[in-house]
Amino acid sequence: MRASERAVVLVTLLATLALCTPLVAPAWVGTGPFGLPRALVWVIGWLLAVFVALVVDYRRETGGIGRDRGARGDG
Amino acid sequence: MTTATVALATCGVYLVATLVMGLLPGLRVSRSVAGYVAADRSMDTLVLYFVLGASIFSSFAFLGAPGWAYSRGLAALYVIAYGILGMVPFYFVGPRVRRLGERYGFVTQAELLAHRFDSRPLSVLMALLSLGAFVPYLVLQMQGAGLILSTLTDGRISLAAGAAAAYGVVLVYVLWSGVLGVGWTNTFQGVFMMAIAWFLGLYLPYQLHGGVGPMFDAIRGERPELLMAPGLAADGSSWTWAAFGSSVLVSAIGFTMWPHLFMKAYAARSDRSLRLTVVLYPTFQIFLVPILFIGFAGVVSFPGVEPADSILPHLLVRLEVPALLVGLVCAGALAASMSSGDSILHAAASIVVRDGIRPLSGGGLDDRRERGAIRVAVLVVSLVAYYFAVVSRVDLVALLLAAYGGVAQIMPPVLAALYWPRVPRQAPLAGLAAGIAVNCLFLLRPELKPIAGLHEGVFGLAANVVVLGLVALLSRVDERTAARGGEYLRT
Repeated sequence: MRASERAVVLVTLLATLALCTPLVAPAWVGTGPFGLPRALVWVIGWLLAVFVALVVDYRRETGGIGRDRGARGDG
Repeated sequence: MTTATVALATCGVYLVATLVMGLLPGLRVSRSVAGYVAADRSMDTLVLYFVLGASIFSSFAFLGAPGWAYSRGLAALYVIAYGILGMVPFYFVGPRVRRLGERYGFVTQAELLAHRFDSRPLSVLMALLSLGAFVPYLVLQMQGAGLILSTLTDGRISLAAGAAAAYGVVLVYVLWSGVLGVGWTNTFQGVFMMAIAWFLGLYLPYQLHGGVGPMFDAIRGERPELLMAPGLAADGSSWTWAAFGSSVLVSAIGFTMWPHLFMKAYAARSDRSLRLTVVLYPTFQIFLVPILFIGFAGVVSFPGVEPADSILPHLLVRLEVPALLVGLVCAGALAASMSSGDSILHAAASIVVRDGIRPLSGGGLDDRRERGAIRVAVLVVSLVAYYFAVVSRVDLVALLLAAYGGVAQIMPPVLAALYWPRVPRQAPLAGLAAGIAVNCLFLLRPELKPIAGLHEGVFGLAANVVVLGLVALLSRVDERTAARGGEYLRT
């Protein structure tokens, strides 16, 4: 398993803990930027974290986004 | 022209455009089962992205999610949370499933498990489970489409006629083009829905409160309990973290395992296109944020709207927005219903034939007959769903919520099939049966749950994993099954 693949797994596990439990309770309370509820910012933050982890691993594996026109059955 | 006439004409234009988009791909796909069910394994990232996205964003997302935000506040974040977690397993599992499908000719989820464990009963049980989950889902989409057209015309078009008009279009392009028709229409519908959602999600808060920030300030002043995580339960009391967290977990696992989504791995052109689809998927998920803003926009300005799911049409009517906008929103809601309904209808029919009829008939169908049988099944499944949509009074929402717990039970057998070579053939069947039984028990008798508030699917999963593990450890695996497990691990 590549290091970046392990990072995807780790970020997803952390996101699971962060989104399914009140372990980091202050993150869910109060007002964040632009007047948004901090809970909403928290959820969007984890969405972005998972997105970035996936992008990094995908780039490591394939050389970059936009190189999708490979032969059938690649990988 | 009246608002209703303009809006109805807009919906009519949308339906015609969808029909054309759905029929065109039928001209280029092969007349085989692989063509009809898996698009000749040719879908690229763009189409896959919208198929996976639009299939999930059903009329629940378009009407139900604003309703949740309106009546249950931050509890609605659960919809975004499970979407974030639900797609990641597909990044690892999807490419392997795609390669196995290409190698062995699979087009359904159960075919993979039945082949891996050489088990016909497993195939039939999976077919029954899938159908049990699909029919309520499809019925709700039909009712949603009928309701939109009926509300729009003030009842002059009945719910039954509205559902028949929308799903008549779906039926024609699914019968003609198969999954490629689903793919192209979902691309069109996905773009359309995203545009409408972003527009409304920003327009309504500005119109009613002067912006998104002021909208939340107003809610903080009038209804602060809505902004206390994890929000409110359906009865208006505080939702517990146990209920919120377990609902997210079970829904995320169910999300990964829904057969109509899982089957799209077989339709992917390459591992790369499939993985890139998952990588880009969070950009589709973010479209739920403006959808929630729609519900939050109504909290202070229009309290007490019942049912909460009608908050979007309620806002449109009360704000007297232009007729064309009403029409576009109704067409967007139709798109949300149809983009999920077509995918489910197509998958349900394919599963009935490939996992139910074919194994029981001893594999006696040639490719042409099998394709014909799947198209007949499309017709039968849509008629059954239509019957329930317009006649039956069964509590479908409860059935659908139960379905998530049932679908989540597919995860342990799938992981065992792909990553654990020395699992004997009887273990996944035993685990799956135990998981479904426990899920149903706690669904029907929630007072028996060992931990109150936890989703019944969690207990089902625990029973499933324990039984599968125990049977696997206590039974001897035959060499053929072990060898096949090794092949799956290396693929």
